[in-house]
Amino acid sequence: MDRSFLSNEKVIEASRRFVCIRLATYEDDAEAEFLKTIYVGNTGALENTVFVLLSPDGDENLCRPGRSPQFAFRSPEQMALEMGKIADKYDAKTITPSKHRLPEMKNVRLGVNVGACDGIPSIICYSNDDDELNQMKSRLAPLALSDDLAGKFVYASSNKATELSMLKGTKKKSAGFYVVTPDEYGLAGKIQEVLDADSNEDALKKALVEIAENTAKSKKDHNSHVRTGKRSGKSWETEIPVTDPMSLRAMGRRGGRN
Amino acid sequence: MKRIIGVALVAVIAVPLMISGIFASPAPPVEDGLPKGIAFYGVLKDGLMEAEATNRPILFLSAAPQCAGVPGMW
Repeated sequence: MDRSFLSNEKVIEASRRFVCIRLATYEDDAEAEFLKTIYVGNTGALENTVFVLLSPDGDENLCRPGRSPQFAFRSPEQMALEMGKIADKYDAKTITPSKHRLPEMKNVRLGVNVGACDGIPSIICYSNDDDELNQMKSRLAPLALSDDLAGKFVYASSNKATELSMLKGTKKKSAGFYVVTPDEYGLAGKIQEVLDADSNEDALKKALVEIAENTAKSKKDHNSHVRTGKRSGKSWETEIPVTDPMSLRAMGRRGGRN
Repeated sequence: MKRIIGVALVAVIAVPLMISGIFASPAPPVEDGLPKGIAFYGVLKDGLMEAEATNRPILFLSAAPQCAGVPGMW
């Protein structure tokens, strides 16, 4: 993933006029099929990374697809400029805040791992009551998309207490917004705080802004992380087989799941 | 002779100052607070529904949350 483009201030600003989707490659069969319609490498196999700008219905490519923004743009500044021109062509609709969908990962496991990848905390919404869980997500969604909090947390939700077993710090898992610091490898997380499930938007915003202001982004050295992880047996099992030729070489074996 | 005395004088003054840290680079600022970022939908269906409802174009990417099988790194 090309951080120099996606962490650029102008690209971040331009992204506010877009809906931003970042899938986890090899973690969903149906999504993998969609990815293959956008970009595959020379071998015809799905590679680790895919990038494109799409029309609101997801049917039309609005730039050259590839492995990263560099396939389409010379620089982050050019990317931001082109994103602005593209956004100008669409008459964006304003919807009721509670109608926004929460930008979340597919499950808690991915929510914690992606938090570790990004070096930021994860927020896990949990309730065993589906109605309550949906209401919690509706209150959280507009905050997660707001300029104050966008990109500062990774979100996931669950109605199953068993999914929370990877979270350490409290034995009783009652309904609430769990603020979690992922461990270095994203295989577990430490619960830092639990916000009440019935917190209103103002209370949630106040709490999350305060947490964001008092938390530093965790930084890791890529090579050292992978080397140490391999030595200590930290491994990730993907939902579907990895097919990226470079990844397969790096894993030192042919095909199969991680 | 004057030049030698000048160089010696500079050395006598500068060396202790350098040692005391006056010429040292300022310490990097402590990076507190999470930086602004992009709010990403991690589920395709959710992102497409949001884009359709708001008629906004899509910044789309995919990345593997593991490197060579080791999680916690893109």
